[in-house]
Amino acid sequence: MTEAARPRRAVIAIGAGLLVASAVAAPAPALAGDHKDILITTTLARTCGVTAPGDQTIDPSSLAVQPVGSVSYRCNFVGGATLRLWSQNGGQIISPASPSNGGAPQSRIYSTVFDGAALGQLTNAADTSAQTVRAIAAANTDQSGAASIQLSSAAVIAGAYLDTIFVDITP
Amino acid sequence: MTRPRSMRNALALGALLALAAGATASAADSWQISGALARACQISFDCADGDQCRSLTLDDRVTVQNTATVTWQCNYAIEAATMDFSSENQGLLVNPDDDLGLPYLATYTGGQNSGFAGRSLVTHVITNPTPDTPNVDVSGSIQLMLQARTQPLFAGRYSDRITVTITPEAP
Repeated sequence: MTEAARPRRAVIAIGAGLLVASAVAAPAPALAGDHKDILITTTLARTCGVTAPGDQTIDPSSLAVQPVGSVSYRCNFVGGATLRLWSQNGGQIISPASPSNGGAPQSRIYSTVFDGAALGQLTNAADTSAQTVRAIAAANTDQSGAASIQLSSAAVIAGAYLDTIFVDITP
Repeated sequence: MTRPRSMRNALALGALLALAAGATASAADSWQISGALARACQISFDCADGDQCRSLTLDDRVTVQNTATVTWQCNYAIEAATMDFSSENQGLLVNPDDDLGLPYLATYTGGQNSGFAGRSLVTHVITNPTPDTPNVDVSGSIQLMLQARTQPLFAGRYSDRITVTITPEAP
């Protein structure tokens, strides 16, 4: 062997050594079977949604029962939900004070019926609102109820009368 | 990346808590009910002698003679209305046997800018009452003063029909 050939053999020997070391570090195959069951659970909460009708026009001089639209709602379960109604003016239509109406607000009380349930005069707060329990017959299916009002006395002074009715539904 | 088992359990618990927090979800909506009571005015008359107003004294040409009491009201205040006074015979008392007729001047004593004084009804007389208060009566008398004429009158009944109309002005 010449002197020039020695360094080449030394390089080969180092490479082989690395291969050997790598084979020793690999994991040994499992020798016995094993498993763990992981239980995964979650809950989809009960929820309901409600949609008010669009703005409604009434006749402030009429004492007849006047429809004020249909409220639709749906829940993601079968059972019951509580629907509440209240109004900005506490169950009154009001024409704000102006010189042409004598300088004093004009108001007329109305009673409300929702889907056959007489709710009387609405209050002006959610926590004292009129409530009606709705039977939810099918999950994720729209249901609706018609609302109507009836004035206790007719407006007699000219002007624009209005109120805003609020509705919510809770599972 | 592989997480330790304790970290995976912590993540799963967090997900369940997040779902539980939504269990009392509710939904709310609102809508407006409104209506306008239009401006309106009304008018009535009262004749002391029933449906035909007080008879005039034909030979009295200097005294203002009361005929009917005219009462009006509007369901608003401050802003104006239009009152129209017109004569069926253009300001003449007419006798079928007398081609000339007997002219008169009319006065209405109503307040709140509804009145006028000493006007012929050969054409309509227009006033613009401004009611002080909604739905409160305002009354005045229709008074006539018969005018002189050089020709003698004819035996018979001299009559005219005065029509008073009140119309609210648009807001």
